[in-house]
Amino acid sequence: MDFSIKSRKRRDKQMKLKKYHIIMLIFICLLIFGLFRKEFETVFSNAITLCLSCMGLE
Amino acid sequence: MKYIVNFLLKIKRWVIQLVTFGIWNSFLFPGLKILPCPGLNCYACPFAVFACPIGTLQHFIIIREIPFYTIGILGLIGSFLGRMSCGWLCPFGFLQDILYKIKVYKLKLSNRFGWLRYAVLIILVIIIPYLTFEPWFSKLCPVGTIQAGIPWLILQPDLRELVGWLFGLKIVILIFFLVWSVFTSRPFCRFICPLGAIYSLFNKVSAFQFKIDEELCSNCGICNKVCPMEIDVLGGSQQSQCIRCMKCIKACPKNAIKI
Repeated sequence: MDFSIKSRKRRDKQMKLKKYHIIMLIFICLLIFGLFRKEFETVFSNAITLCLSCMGLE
Repeated sequence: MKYIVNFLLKIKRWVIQLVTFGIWNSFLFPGLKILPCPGLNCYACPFAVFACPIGTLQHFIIIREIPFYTIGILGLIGSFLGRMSCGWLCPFGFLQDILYKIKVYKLKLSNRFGWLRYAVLIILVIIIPYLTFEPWFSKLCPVGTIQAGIPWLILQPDLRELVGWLFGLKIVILIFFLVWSVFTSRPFCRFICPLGAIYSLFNKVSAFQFKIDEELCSNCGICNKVCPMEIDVLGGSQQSQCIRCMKCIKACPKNAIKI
């Protein structure tokens, strides 16, 4: 009985690890796709422009 | 992972928060503005190293593009840390922690209205910028006021001509949250922050989780008393408000909470 509970817990833990890895993999794919589309250039050009809205100035 | 956890349990959290604030606003590496910041740090700050993640999201929504790159980075951070970035890295969270240390009457508030941060995310960060082509969350964000608006007006007197009703409104919002932070722990994080709302979605699956050893736990309630997010710690770290600050772990007299 104890052995089956322990093996079930180990299996659950492995499944949780797999879920977390799959989610990270999905976001890595999104990141790579975004890099391929050169979105970082848009991020950079937006970030280096002085954001008057953020400062509350119009 | 164990070494990271042991290090975090030994070090004072405010040290990490202070060092992070210094690095994120040191302007040491200007090229790093291609990266969205893991916390809510305004990129209009004169010394900001990273790009603001919420400002970046709004910009992509305004130009009608899906921000795969930004979502990828935020998702990676979230799936690894969950809301740990809020607890250890975010400068505005740090400021709220400092203000809460002021010894006055404390107002305990239920997290029942925690859903408001999802409403802020959907309405102010996504829908309204999409409809109006303006980054309305950035226009109202108190972090932008304290990190960018006020410093820039001090450093560049020419900009003072542009001060209008919007700046006045931002000052009111900033003062409101600063005062509220004295009486309630982390009100902005618990009820408003859209970045916290995004990271909250990952709390159930992130790498950092803690569990209560029910055999050791004596239900003394010390963990609930020290929790800055005022959650029921016995409910576990999968709760969306848990910022993995580890105060409960350090405070537990029975060492019943384990990562």
